[in-house]
This record gives sequence, C-alpha cells and structure tokens, in this order.
Amino acid sequence: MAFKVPVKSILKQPGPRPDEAEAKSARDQKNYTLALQHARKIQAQKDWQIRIVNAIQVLLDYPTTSHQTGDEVDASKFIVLIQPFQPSDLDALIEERVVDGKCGWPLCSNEPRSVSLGKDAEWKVGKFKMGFCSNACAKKMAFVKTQLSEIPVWERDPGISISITLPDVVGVVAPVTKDDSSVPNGNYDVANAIHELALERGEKATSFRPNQVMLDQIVEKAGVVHKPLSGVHGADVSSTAIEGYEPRVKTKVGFVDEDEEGSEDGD
Amino acid sequence: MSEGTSQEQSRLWRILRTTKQMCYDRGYELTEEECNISLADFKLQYVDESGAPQRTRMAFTARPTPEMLKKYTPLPRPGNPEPSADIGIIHVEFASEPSIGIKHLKAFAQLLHEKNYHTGMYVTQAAPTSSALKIIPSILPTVMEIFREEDLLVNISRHELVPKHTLLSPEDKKRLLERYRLKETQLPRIRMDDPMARYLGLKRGQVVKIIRKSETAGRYASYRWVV
Ligand SMILES: [Zn+2]
Repeated sequence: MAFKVPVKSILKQPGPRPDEAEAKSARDQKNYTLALQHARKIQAQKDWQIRIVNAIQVLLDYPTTSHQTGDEVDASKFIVLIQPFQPSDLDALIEERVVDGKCGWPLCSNEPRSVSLGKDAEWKVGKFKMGFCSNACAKKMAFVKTQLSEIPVWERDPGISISITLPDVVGVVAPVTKDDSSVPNGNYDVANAIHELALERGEKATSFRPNQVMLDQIVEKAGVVHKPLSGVHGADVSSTAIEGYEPRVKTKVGFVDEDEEGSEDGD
Repeated sequence: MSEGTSQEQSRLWRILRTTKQMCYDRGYELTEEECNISLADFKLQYVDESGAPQRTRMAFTARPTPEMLKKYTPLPRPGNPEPSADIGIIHVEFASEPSIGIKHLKAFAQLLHEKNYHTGMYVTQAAPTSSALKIIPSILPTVMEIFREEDLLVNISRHELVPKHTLLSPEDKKRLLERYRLKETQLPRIRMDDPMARYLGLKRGQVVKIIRKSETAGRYASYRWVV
C-alpha cells in the first residue's frame, strides 16, 4: 500500500510567519504615517511659499493710491501681508519693487535712487539704500525688517502672531533696541515650545537649522580657558604642528631625535 | 557705427544662433540655414536703422519633429493605451528689459497660456529676481525655461571636450534597463541643472545616453538618469 507522504521542504518556508507579518505591517504602517507626515509638512511649506510670493505681488502695486488718502488702509494691509515674511522675503520685495521702478518702501510711490541716480547709485548711497527714494524710506524698511521673525512661518507656533509696528504709526522712527532680551515677547518660551514639539514629531534636535532657533546673543560659558591642543611635555604648539603633532625633520645624515620614544624609527 | 554697437550686434547674433541650434538639437523643426545664420543676414533681419539689435524681433516659435514627438511619448499602459506626447510647440523670446521681475515672467506665462504653447524659453540679460523664479513651477504643465544671454554666447554642446548627449525614448530606456537588469535608480545620475541637461531641456526620470571618444577604447557609451 503506497502512502502518499506529503513532501516537506527542508528549505525555509516561503511567506512570513504570522507574528512576523504582524510586525511588518505595523512597521509599514508606522513608516507610512511618517512619510505622510513629512509629505504634509513639505506641502505646507510650499503653500506658504506661494502665499509669500503672492503677498510680494500684491505689495508690488502699493501704494494703491498715489497720495495720502488711502495710506492708512494700505499701511494696515501691509502689516497683515508681511506677517509670514522672514527678513529675506522683505529683501525680495525690495528687489522686486526696484525692478518695477518703485521705491522699496511699499507705501511710497517715488522712484528708487538706483533709477534716479543711475549707475552711480551703488557707490553714492550703498547697496541697500539705493533701492529707496530717500534715506527716510530705507530707515522705515529697516525698522520693519528688524521686527520680522527669522523662523520660517511653517515652523512657527500658529497661536502666536508677530506684532509689527510701522514707523509712521509710532510717529518717529524708533531707535532699534540693541538689547534683544528687553523685548517682552517671550522669545525663549516660544523657542523651547517649538523645540519640544519638534521632538514630539520625531525630529531630532539637530534637524533644525541652527540659524532658526539661535538667538543673536552669544553666551560664553564660564571657565573656558584656552589650552593648546598638544599637551606633549606641556610645550607650546608651534605653527608647524599638525593636529598637535610636530612633524620631525628627518635629515639623512646625523639625524638627532630629542624625543625619547620612537628614536629608533628614524632611518 | 561705433564699435560698441557692432560688438552688441555680433553678441546677439551668437546668442540667437546658439538658441536655435539648441532647439534644433532638442528635435524642433528648424532649418540648418536658420541655425547657422550669417552675421550679414542677422543684421539685415534684426538690426534697426540706428544699428541697435532688436531683441523683440528675434522671438521665434518651433514645432517638434515627428522623431521628437516619439521620444516624448510615454509607453502605453493598461489605463492609457494611446498616450499623447508630452511635448509641443516651443516659443522663444529675448527680453529687452535689463532686469526681470515677477511682472515680466507673469506676462510671459500669460502669453504661453493664451497661445497654448507647451514650452516657453525666456532669454534674459540678467538673472530674474528670486521671487520671479518661484512662479515657474506654478504654471506647470506649461514649461518655462530661463536662459541668461551670456550662457548662450557659445554653444557648449559643440565644445570638443563635451561628449555627445542624446535623450533615450521611453522604449529605449525600457530596453536598456531590461538588457542590463537594472532599475533606473541604479543608473548613474545627471542633475537637471547640469548645463547639458539644461541645453537638452531634460526632465526628471528621463535617461540620457552619453557617447565619449576614448583613445584606447574607441567610443563608449554611458547612461545617466535625470534627477
Ligand atoms: Zn520712498
């Protein structure tokens, strides 16, 4: 009587075992979620960039009226439009207005000096100021620029809006405060909160580009004493040392080595 | 005529010639004579009475040749058995304004849209502003390419050290990958902003064949995937 013995392969069975499959699907799911998260972030970033370019286009045609009447409306709209700007976006706006033959300050309808002074503008008034009709306009723009956040809008805390004051509303061009710590907007807390949120999203702290979270103040840690890199015999390191190691000059005849170790290897 | 104007004339003559040769090399319908216009003919056609070359007159339009259409036709798929070619008429303009901002590129994009051109090429005297360049991806699928005049003074593809680059059709690409049992990602790469990739207007995902002359091996071909 012939039994039909089922043939069993000695090779590894194809197909993952159930627990492996489960682990794999969980992993896939996690990767998928992560990929989706990143895709959304990139999309949000693109959307913001388009909005910023659109805002630049709107401000390109400012002021909407040639004289004082509509200025207040323009001014308030200007503040709203530049909310998402980084300082570099404001530079792009100036560049764009100058190409269009307008003073860089969006509430001014004069010609920039790069047009009125012609080719000599750059050495007469400087690269930044030649984009404006006057030093007053250049100052106004610089005043606004200092108030913008260096953090790209898509990485900012959506709950916090930046308050921007125009120099005209204040009356005079307020002096730019040099001491940033006196600005009472809780910069530190915001930076910390953003940082924590980023960690929660699964990003490493290092994935932040430093200039976005760094403050322009440098705090020197106490007790930093400069030490020479090479501690060998406590000797000072000469300018010829390479990473603290002083290459020895080997002469063919009469090679003298003052170092106790390795005096045998010179030949 | 001053020396400056005659210099400007020959400068723009070179630029126009390179631009037309570039379109010819991509596969657009242009005649050999157009691509090799003489300086005398250029002056007759594009220079006004004062001796100044007229950039607006230099604009031209060209259709893709049947071979080019074939190279740009994707392989048929179950859902799309007869795909149409992803290429069409190209329109080339030479900007008269020394600096180019959003408004100029928007106007050019508008023209491309109205006339239903597939590709627009804008040759500018200086680089457009950074914000202006940002609108280029927003008008896709219409393609807008920007070239600086100074980059077209000489035709880089004619330089003896630049090997011959040719675009593979989707079919040739498939055959290549099958023959060597490769995935496209395993090919060496060429960036889209590589000068020769820009010259040929290559798009992401295409494969270009590069034929070099070698003193020891005669000619040899290599392939690069556009990223
Ligand atoms: Zn002004």
